[in-house]
Amino acid sequence: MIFDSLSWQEGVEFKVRVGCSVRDFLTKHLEIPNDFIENRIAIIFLDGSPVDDIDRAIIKNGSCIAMSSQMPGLVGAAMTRKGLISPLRTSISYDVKKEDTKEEVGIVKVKLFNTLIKELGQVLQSKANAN
Amino acid sequence: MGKILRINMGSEGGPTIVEEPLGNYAGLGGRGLTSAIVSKEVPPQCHPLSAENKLVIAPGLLSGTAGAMSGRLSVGCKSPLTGTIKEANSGGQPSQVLARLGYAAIVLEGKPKTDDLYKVIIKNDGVKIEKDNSLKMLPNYDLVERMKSQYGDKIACISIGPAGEMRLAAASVACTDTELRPTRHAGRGGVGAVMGSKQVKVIVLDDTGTKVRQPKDPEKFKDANKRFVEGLQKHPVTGQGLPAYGTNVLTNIINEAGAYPTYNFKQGNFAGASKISGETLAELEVKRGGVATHGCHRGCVIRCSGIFHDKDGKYLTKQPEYETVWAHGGNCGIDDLDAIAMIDFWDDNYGLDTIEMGATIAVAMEAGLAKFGDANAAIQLIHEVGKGTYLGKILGSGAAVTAKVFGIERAPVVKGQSMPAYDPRAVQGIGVTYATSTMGADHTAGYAIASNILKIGGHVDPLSPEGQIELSRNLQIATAAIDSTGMCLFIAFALLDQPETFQALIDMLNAFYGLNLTADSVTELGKSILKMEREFNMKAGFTKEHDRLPRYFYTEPIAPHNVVFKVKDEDLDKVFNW
Ligand code: SF4
Repeated sequence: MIFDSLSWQEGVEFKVRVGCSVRDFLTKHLEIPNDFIENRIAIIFLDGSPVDDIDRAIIKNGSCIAMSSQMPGLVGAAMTRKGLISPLRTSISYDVKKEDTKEEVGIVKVKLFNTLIKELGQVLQSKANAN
Repeated sequence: MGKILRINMGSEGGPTIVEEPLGNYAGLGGRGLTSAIVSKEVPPQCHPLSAENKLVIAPGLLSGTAGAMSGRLSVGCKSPLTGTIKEANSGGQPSQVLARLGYAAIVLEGKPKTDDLYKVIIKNDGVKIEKDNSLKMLPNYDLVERMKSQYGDKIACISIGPAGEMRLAAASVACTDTELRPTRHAGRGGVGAVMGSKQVKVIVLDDTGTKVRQPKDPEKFKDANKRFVEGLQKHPVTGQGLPAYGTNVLTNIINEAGAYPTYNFKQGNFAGASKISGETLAELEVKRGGVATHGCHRGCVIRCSGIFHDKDGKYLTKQPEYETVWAHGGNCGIDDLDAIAMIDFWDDNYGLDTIEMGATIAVAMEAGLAKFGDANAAIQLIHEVGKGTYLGKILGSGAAVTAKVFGIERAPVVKGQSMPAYDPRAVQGIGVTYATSTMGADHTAGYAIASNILKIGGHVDPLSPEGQIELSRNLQIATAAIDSTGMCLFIAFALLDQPETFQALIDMLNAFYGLNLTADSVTELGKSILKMEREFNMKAGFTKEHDRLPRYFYTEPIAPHNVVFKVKDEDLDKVFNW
């Protein structure tokens, strides 16, 4: 199956072991190199909340993870991970909860936005199909 | 660019033209100049559509030079929408052309005693003003075609459509783009209605025979401009995100964050967001033979705009911006890019502010005039405005008036002007600026996010109320300063992360004018502009009680995060304590 731009924007499902951190999900399951995560993925949402600490935010069954490169404007910049002004959106930021750490096989939806569609879409395509 | 062109439309025997030196206004440009003239010469208590109001059109300090990004135009007056001072900003060609013709500003004053309509023609060899009643109620596209047939295709036009002639409070002033189409608008605050009240339909500019403005130190200017362009091109936002997708790249992000006002600010997510996103828009434009990366004026190196073709591959409109796609899209429940582009075209053609009209139609939908998501009904409502029916005149007066007429509580306005595309409950920091801006709810201050001016990171904790207040204050200062240079506000994204690019901008100003400005001087310039604007507003009757969001933002939580606006009134009152 080929996932086009719209599919990535709306989310592609991956069957994986959940209960891990966002960083582990990205590096181990999706095999995205750490330096790409640090340099190119400026914004990460977990279930609609911008995440600052990807080592503490936990993926669970049914989670949706959305990723973007750096965005324009006050609100765009406020969404940046650990950005200078990310505290401006504290009321919607991802809040780490202890009960989310159960390890199991589950479904995670991955959304890619803007330049990341081209940069990651093809690489992730095969992993989604291999599910 | 050392002179002001004053056109008194109310002189006995017909309009008169006077050219005068800048005098006390020397050193000012763009918003700095429009706000200085309005605050000094317009009685703050005057009716915005009266002879006492003035419409000031000013290129920026660097417009007309070889400097990149310098072609933004400021249009200022007392606003018929808000009653405050107003500066509305536009791209397009006129700013560069006007500056090359040597004008720091055009000031339209007085008011004709008859109902005749006029056109102004400005060339290198002089200025003419002519009565032309054949132009009455022409939409902007037809008007520009007419001007092209009369004055050739080397011109640039500043014009109003029927909405401006009808003096509707949502009327814009149109500027032609590089293809000589009236697609760029000084949209906010009803500046088109003030041009309409002066009965000037169009200002035709022709800079044939003029030269690019020369800097005091050409070598230093060239070097600074080179560093400035390199800085813009290497930054991920100005070098990649914006050129590829335009400002509409924000749709998916703001929607994912739950901060995307949907169904007249009822919820923060729109199910159809991906269908109208910048990514989808750019793909559709390229597929249909349009353009996804395009500058609104010559000299723009970011090129956040584009050209949208219809299903048959024919030109329909320019690439609609994020705020337009949101206003006519998600806020009205419409997820059809063709319909949104069609509405954008008619907004431009009738001469209407897309943000105000989108917010107004959403209010009308809540009032039951149409169903949310009904794109055809939305297009019909815009035609009502263009035709000037009674309903159309209500809608063309903006969201606040429409809500009042139809008994709707949820009018998302501050000082009578519609809020743009970010819900202040989800991102509280932007709400501070909506509430306290001298212009009514305004999005542009949210773009001037330059750490050098903002002094964020080490200077202020944005989490504390003081931090949010200081950030908003500094954003407003930075916006006012950048708006004076003629530079597009989108340069600020690169200034945020790259101090050397900010320095390059200051070096450009210094090399051009032979000055020794520093970052502090830029801050002082921004402060002095805001001070003038605040004083004008106070004299016009505005108090701190006007610096508030509508009450429902404090009481109605917005899904999915179920948050309300929590910044206290006493903190909002501190924004201008400096
Ligand atoms: S970046 Fe966009 S808005 Fe700014 S000048 Fe260029 S095309 Fe116009």
